[in-house]
Amino acid sequence: MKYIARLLIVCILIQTFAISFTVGAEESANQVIYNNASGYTLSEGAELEVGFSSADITAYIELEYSTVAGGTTTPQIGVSVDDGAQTVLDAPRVWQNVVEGERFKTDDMGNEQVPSQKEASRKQYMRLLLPDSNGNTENGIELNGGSHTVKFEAVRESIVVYKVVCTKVGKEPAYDEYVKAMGGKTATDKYSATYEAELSSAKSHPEIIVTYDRLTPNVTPNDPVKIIQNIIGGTGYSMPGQWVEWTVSVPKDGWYMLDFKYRQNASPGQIVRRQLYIDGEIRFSDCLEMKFPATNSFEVLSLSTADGKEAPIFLSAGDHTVRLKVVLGSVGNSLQTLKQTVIKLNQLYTKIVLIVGENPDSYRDYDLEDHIDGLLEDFDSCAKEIEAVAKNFEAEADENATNNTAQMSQIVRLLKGFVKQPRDIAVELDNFRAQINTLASLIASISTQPLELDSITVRSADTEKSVEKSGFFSVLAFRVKSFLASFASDYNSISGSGKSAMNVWVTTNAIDAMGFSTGRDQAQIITQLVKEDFYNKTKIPVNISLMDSSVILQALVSGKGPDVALFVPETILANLYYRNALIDLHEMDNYDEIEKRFYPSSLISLSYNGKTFALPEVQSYNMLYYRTDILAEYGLEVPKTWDDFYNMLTKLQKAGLQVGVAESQSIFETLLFQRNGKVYKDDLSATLLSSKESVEAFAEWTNLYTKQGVPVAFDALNRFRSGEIPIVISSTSFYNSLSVGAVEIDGLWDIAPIPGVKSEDGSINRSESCNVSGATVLHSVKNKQNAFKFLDWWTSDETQTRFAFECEIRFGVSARYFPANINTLGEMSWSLSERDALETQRKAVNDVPQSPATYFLNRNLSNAFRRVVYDYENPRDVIYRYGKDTDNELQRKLKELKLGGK
Amino acid sequence: MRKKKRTTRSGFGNAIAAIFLLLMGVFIALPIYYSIINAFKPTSELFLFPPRFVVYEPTFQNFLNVVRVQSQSLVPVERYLFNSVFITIVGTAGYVLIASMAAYPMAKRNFPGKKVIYYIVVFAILFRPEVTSLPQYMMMSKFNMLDTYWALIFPLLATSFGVFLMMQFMSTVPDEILEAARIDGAGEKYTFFHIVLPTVKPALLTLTIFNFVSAWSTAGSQFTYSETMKLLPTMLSQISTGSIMRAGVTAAGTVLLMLPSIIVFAVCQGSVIETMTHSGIKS
Amino acid sequence: METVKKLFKKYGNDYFFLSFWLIIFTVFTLVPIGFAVGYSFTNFDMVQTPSFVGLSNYLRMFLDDDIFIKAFMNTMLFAVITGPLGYIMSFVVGWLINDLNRMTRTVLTFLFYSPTLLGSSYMMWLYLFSNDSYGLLNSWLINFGFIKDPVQWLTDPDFNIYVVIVVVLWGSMGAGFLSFVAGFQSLNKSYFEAGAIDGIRNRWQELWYITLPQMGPQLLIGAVLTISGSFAIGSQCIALTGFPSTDYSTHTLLLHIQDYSANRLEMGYASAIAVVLFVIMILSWLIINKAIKTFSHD
Repeated sequence: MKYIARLLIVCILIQTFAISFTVGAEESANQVIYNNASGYTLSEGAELEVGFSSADITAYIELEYSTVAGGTTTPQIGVSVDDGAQTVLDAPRVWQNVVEGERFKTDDMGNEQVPSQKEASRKQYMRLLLPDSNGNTENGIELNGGSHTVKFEAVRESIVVYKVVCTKVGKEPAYDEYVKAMGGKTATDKYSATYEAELSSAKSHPEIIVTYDRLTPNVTPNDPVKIIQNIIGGTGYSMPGQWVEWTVSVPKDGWYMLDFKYRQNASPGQIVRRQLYIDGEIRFSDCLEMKFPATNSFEVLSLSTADGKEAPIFLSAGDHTVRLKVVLGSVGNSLQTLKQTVIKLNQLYTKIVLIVGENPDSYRDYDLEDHIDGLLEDFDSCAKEIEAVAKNFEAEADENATNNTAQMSQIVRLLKGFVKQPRDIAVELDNFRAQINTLASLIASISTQPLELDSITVRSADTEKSVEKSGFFSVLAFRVKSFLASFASDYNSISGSGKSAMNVWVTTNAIDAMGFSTGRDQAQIITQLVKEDFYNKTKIPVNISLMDSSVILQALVSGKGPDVALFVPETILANLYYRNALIDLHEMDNYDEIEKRFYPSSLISLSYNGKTFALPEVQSYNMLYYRTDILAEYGLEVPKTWDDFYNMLTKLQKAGLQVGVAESQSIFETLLFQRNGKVYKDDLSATLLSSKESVEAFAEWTNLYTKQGVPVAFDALNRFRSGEIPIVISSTSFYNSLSVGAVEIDGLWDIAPIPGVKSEDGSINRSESCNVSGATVLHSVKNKQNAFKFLDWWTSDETQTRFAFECEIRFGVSARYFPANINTLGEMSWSLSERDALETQRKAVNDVPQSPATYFLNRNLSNAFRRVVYDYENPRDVIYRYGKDTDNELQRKLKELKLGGK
Repeated sequence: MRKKKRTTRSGFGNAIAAIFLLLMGVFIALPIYYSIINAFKPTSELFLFPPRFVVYEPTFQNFLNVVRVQSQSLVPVERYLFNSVFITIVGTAGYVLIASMAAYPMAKRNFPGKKVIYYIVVFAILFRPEVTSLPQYMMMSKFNMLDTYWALIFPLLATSFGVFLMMQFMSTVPDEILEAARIDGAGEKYTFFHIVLPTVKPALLTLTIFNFVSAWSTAGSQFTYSETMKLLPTMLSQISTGSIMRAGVTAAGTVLLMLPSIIVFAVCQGSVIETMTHSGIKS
Repeated sequence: METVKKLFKKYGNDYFFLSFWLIIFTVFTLVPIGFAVGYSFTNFDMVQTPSFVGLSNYLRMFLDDDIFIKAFMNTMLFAVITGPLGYIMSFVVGWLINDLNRMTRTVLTFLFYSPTLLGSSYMMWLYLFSNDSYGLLNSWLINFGFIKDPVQWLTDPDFNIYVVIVVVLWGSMGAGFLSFVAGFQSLNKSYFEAGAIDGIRNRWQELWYITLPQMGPQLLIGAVLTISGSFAIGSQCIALTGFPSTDYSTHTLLLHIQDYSANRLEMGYASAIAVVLFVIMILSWLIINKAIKTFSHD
């Protein structure tokens, strides 16, 4: 790389030593401020401090590093300059797709499989995106003359540091200067070569996946029947810093055009930006930010200058690398402004809602401007900021700008209207909320820059650009072939198997049921995993079907049941087990090792009388969700014990806010566990609902609503968003809802373990119940050993992590769930604080064992709850009554199922 | 078709009736309106509570996303469409045909066993299918019809409501006409197809609407295992359970699924009303 | 066998017409019904082979099952209120629509039929009757000062029955309504003219003397559908008040069946309940059938 060569020359010229820590302060373009040829290993948690002095310049800090092979997550480093705030950045590895021959591995039916990815770590050179005084990350940082320090901390995973360079923000040459510098354009022999983008030579993140589009023959290569992995990218190739690299070669020196066949339909109407590196360098200023407008289908974009003229580059004969890196570009600064504005508007909204409530009386004059200091001034300044940003966008003169600017002008109009007529604020509160959300969604969508690439064409400068797109008839023919092929193909089966294949059912669930949802996408992911991994290893033919869990029973009756079922809710599993439809998994040879993959709490609902009939996949439990901004404003700490919680409750209620506790019997179970109580007797012959602990727990549970004034029914999502209920105890699904439906408060909330009870030794008992779904083998299985192998593979760390990874690639944050596998949690993309909170809570989780009367217990608890909360009956009497009722049913069921009972 | 002024109708009474009906109708159709506008809402508005009846930023993005989701689908979407269309057409046309065929002798002829069958027909309408779903499944399984089109079509053909409906309407066809035809030498089949059926056209169309809606919205998920045999409603619901991010796609898909029902209804219902002004039964 | 041959000669055509439907119906509806009735005398639990238990399911139902009694009362309540009301509503609306012009008729029919046509969407009802204090009804009542705390419409046993009744009525204009519309259209115009001459002055007399007597068949269709529907209210209850509803306040026989078959896996007992429900419906039908037949031959 030429950069490195230049640096070395500078070093030699300045006569530094092999290992040096400071460099003389000179006004050279690049200062190597740290150099360790053999590499300094910065292990996770360790710090490296580098001191240097500089003149009064704006500069980039650049890092030469390599990653340590072995981990799967992208390493992260925390960088702080001069004891400022630490910025956490990705220090990505280098990944390569594993190819077999020309393309990817295919299965027996000719379908290409998604290639596995292997790490190919090498020295990398990275410019660090550090924020300047305005928070913008694209412009470098301002350094005053004098000495400075840069601190590096390995926040996640270790890296090896070779060099740290301080580069003055320079100007890349304009295109004309570049052409002049290269000696002017010369004629080039005709040449054209197309490279498939999915055959990239390297990429920075495993989320940049190879995938397929089978809809039209517009993508190359294509096949109406077989699956061909023909595109790379998508929503996983969207965060600043990610890059993909290809190797191209030209036969002779000359000037060549680069055409990119791409599609951007994930983010409607948005221009997506990439930085183009040829052989590791930015050749001219237009490469700093290539703009890819939104498209509905695959289009070709050629490298051009700002005024739209084609911009051929000079390539010498031989191989070259072409790299596209995601950048925010000119939009980055505007984004910062918008982010600040959203924060401000959120604060104003919360203050307003405190006074008028969420559904204000439109006929009342609330005089908000008198109650809230600076309300109108803030509205005005926000409006002006947004206007300025909109103007910047307009200057971009693209179709998408009009969409965004239209949305922004709406907000501006609304805010200005508020300034003029403060009475409107209360009336338009709804609209205000929606507009804040729109603005936040806008920020979110602009910050992500998804792009799909099909191919890259290198052609000599005077060759025609080929823009052929499939005509209507070829698309029609393609679709017809594809349709007809569907009658002959079996998409469910892996390896074209037949009757002897193992039938695996993926059961569909709605998210409310388990806190985790499964649908067609999950089934396709599992099919892919089985193909690549399980089948390759074991050659056992498998059939995957997506079925509703209720069909299992019917199928069993007719003898058409599956061999293995995945993601089955715990209640159905128990029912099946009582009727001898499931196999005790202790029969597996390596059961003891497999058991270690999970916490014992997750196996409680999947066992009975010492036998285990399923292995857990998902373990959902309640967490505490809170608004960091609102709690900070009221000077409140996250409650650790119930006493803290009640204190906070009082304080919040005094301020006109509320707390939210989801109406769920899991709260009762939680309170019971924290008193060291149990729901059932150990032999499951009767309930312990009339025990002292149970009565106390039940009373405390209902008191929340009857005495403490916690609302019974509330729309958690919207109240949390508006800030009216800044703290909520709820289940996993709330996390998913927030990440999709409450974009505008991104970064303003966090999760924490639920409150607990302090014990004598000072530790806090946070136990609570959980909800589990599991994988099971049915009694009618054709080949037990094969099924065991499958379960072993499925619940292994690697497979579970991979599955979670693939789900998150497709759906982003909304697909995150709480895995039962112990190690998988740490491999998912939770933030550090989230991971800690989840791990802490998970260790404390317990569970209520299942009994034949579980359904009855559930409904009785619900009825009991309502008796007390609606009809104000005495909790003690009520729980006694319903407890006895449950016991009767339990006896009946035990007798019916011949499990004992009197 | 000149409308004769009916002496028993006052214009005023008509107007009141019309206004009252319109208000009621709008109120009743409100949830459908809500479903439709949901399809045009961007994600930022889909989850608001209280729900909004007006879209602030209408967008077609949800519909485009329906197409986008299909590009990743292993099974081409035309297959699902074909499945639904096929069983709907066969199930509807087939049922209308055999139900009216069965109703004809029940309404107009006498034969041994008629009384028994009549009661069976009526009682079968009254027996709730929730309990029969399991035995039905077992029958399918025994005949090895699971995962085939038959499993989806036969349940549509096996109800007795249509027979009952046609029976009632056919009983209003005056016997004289049938007599006349018989005298003229017409065979039973001819009489049925050319005289009886046209007379009860409104009933046929009504039954068509009824069965079409029922068939089109069948999920059939308990009888189909293979992805290629699944129907559109199942496909849509299985996409939607994948993640709440698919909420927009689900809303758009639901609206798209409504369209055929609406079209069939409009066509048939219009004809129902049209036909009867020409009814001229009395000869 | 001679008689069989003779039978076929005389009625061959009739049986031919019947056969297509009858065979399919028998195999896929009658036989399953038979099975279901059979299960009611066993303790079938869906997974293990059933064993015969005679009448014990029925005995338990009437003597030992409080929830059954509750479900029975609820079912009768819903049926008696929503059945006739829905029936009359469909009839009256159909009758009023009849006089309007074709375009208005089609539009209105569509609007009224839309819940059945496009699948009931309970979204709006859930919002209207939401337990949350921001639910539509609650927020109105709070704003106007009638109540202070939100009423738990959907989960409070005192209220949720009424909510269900309202929603059921909303969706009650289904196939019966359509057949009324069709029926109104097929009335013989000449009778009306004759009636006008004979001295019928207003629409009420016309209804009573001319319209209704001709509507016999449609009335029957509507009746059978109403009975079938109103005794089998279930899905609305689940969507609105949860399954099961608080203290079984909106529990109906249908839900009781579902509870036992889907949750408790006691298929035998569920089948027995289904048979009982079936008998109730048959009895009601026989009564109503007689009434309509006598009425329309007046």
